[in-house]
Amino acid sequence: MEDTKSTFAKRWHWFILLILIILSYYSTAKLGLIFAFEGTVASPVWMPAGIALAAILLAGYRVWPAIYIAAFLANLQGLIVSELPFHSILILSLITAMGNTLEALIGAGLISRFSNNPNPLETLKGTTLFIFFGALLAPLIAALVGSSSFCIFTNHWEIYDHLLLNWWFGDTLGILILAPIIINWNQYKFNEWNYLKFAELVGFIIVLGFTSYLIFFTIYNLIYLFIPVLLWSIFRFGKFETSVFVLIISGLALWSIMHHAINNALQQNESILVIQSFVGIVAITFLVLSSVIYERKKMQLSLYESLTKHRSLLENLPQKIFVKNSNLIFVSCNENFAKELNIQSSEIAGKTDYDFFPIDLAEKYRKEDSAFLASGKLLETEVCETRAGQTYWTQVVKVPIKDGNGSVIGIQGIFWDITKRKQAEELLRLNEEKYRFLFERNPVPLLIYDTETLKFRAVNEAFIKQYGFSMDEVLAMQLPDLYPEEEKEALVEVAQGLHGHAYAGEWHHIRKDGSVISIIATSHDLDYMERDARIAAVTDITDRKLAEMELERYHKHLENMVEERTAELEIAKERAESADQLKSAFLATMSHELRTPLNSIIGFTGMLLQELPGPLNEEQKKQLRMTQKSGRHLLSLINDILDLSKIEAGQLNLSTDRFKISEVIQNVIDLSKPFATSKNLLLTAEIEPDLPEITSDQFRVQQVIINLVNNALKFTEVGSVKVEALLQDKHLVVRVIDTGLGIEENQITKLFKPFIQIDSGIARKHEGTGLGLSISKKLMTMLGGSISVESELAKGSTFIIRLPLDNNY
Amino acid sequence: MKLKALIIEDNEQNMYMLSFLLEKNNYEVFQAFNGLDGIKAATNCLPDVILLDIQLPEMDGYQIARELRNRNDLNTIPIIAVTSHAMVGDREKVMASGANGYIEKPIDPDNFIQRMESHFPKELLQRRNQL
Repeated sequence: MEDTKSTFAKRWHWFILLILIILSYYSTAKLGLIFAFEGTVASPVWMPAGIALAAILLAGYRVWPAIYIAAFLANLQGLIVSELPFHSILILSLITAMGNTLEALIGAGLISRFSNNPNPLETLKGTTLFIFFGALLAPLIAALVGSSSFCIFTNHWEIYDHLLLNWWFGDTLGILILAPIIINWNQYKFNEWNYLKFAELVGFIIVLGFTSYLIFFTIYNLIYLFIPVLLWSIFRFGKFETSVFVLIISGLALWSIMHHAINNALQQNESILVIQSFVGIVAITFLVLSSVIYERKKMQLSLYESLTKHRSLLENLPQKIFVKNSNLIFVSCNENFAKELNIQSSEIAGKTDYDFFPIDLAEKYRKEDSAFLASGKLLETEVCETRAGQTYWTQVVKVPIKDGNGSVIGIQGIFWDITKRKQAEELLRLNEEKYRFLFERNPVPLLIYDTETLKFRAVNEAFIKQYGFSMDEVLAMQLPDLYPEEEKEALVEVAQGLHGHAYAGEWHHIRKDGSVISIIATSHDLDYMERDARIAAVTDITDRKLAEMELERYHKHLENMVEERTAELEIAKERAESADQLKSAFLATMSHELRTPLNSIIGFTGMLLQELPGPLNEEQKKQLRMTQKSGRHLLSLINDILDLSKIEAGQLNLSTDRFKISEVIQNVIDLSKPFATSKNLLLTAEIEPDLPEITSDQFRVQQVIINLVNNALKFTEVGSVKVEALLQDKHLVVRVIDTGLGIEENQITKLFKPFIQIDSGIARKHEGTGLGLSISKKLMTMLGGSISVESELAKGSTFIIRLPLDNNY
Repeated sequence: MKLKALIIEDNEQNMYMLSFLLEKNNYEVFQAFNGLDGIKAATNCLPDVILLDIQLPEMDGYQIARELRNRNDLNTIPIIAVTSHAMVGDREKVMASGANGYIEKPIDPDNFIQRMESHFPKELLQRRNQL
């Protein structure tokens, strides 16, 4: 309405506008008064009412003074012919004019109030409002005011109802016939005219004139002939033209009535009512029809505009696009959509879903589209369909197409295949689920916290189980809440210093039940729901810690035990050593103490036998020799026992000497010579020349050789004893060869055992301790050598010792 | 003139035996029953040979030998240890303490003098043979 008003203001000066309103109102009133009932201003068709309503609708309430002035003048003009006094006429005119003005104001106000269209006649709703408020309700006001005041002033109450009805109908018809012409004329576009249209108009007017003449002036009953004529007007011409035609028909009808009325006065009133009804119904019918047709046309136009506007764009889009009107009939589509239906895009217009799809599917689409039209809101859906076992996803967007009033007049549908995207999404979702599963079901307690705020963002099931908090509780907590007071500060520092993948160290955590556990944590930075966060894996090392402590304790215990044992062993060792020393001391003492008395025995018998103190007789000498022999035997026994004891106690210390074996053997020969001579045996030595010096214990080597030589002499009665020395396999070999009794083979192994003398029968015959060979064998072993024997009974024995050249015992 | 032999020995039987044996073999014998007496006697009579027991009261044979070796007037006198200490190492200990020879007990009268004289220095042996 703003727009219309401003257009008006531009075209006409305000003042001119008012004058124009007054003039047009007044002139049409003069015309109307010609038909007015006698002595009244009530006319069968009161045109000014239409002008007034159209003026208010188009120019606004502010033009009311013009209407009032014009109405006052018209009423005054009409009433001046009556018999009333002038002042009454004046007052009556003022009141009636007020009714006329109110009629226009209220009618226009109500229409504008409920219709948001500047031209209410463009829509069915506006047209209905126009008819109901503007053409029926508002005129009643004017009729009531006018009729009542007229009857009050003239006191002609007998014509009140007749007057009221005619007034009301007159105004109604005036509004119905004239207002649409003015309103529609305001928007009329003359440039749409062409020759063809003009020719049609000429033809139409001829038909109209002929029909009118036929009906009104000849065969009145053919009144229905108007129907095709007016339908022609409505469909082929516009609202404005139709309004004009309605006006013409109405005028002709009234004129015919007036013409008839002259002929038949009695039927005048009745005929007027009939013609009024006829005109009224024709006007209403065609107003409604033309508005509906106009609406349809305009919608079609909008659709067409919206289509053509983006046509090239839509054609080139990969999406499939269609447009349906509000009756769900396809209007247009792009090539991609047509391809989908196996048609040309030009073939789509006028088709419906039923032309392309099975009935149930078409029914379904229809339902969806109807629901969409009812909602009038943009709709985005993803549709899943299964065709031949394959799943297809389609993204569907429906956009409502609206006309200038915001009414939905169609659907623009856009859809495209999103199967690939869906598959990718599904893959992503599965992946996400997989990793979510990895996180949530991970047996290691995992937590994610915000790097900045240290608030927990997520924890897994293992964490919940381990710590006893519920998920909600955890998500309301911060990382330091898990730590004991004394660790909180250090933790925050560490947490802020961590970067990338990091070992977060050893800490304590407090569980919901208050128990404290030892943990180690490793963490890694990540982007969690678009914020910097860190995931941490927590390992409970409480048991390990306990085990470590236990181990530590055990370790200490062991150490103590070892120390104790070491101390004990030390003592034992000391004891053993002291026992050894005791043993050594005992052996030394025994040796010493036994020798001292033997010294006297052997020494003095020796000296007596030398007859140093004086001469002895033979018997004395014999007995002294026996004593001497026993003493010597006792001495050798003591020596052997001491040696054996020392060896077995490990007390025998060997010395390391560098010596020549030849010297040792010579010593032995020298020492044993007297014994051999006494038995008349030959004692010889045969030593290989250039024997190297050997390293060993000279004293012990000599002891062994003496032993062997003495044994050989002891057990040999006839013949000789020979000592040989030679080098064999880098060993020194000494052989003591006798020509004695020999040893039985089965006795040989027994030879080197202590206190063994072969053949106890001869044992007594050959004195000796029986320890000699045993000691010799032990000594040889100690010296790293060996001793062995070869023997043949009655032929003799050979004792062999082998010694390493360089001893390393 | 006889050679002088000093016997340091605490056992009377042994002392008697050695003295008798040496005297019979033409030695002049001096006797000491302990170390201190032995050193005094050695200082006084300047023997040609000292027969030294090892196990002695108060001062043992090793100490006496060392003491004697430390004396300028006595350190050339041959010392022959005559001892019942016949254990391994005893001989070495005796020799290390300064003795010239070692004869273990019980002694054999048949070769005792011979063994003793085998440890004499050349000059003393000559003197002994000249007698």
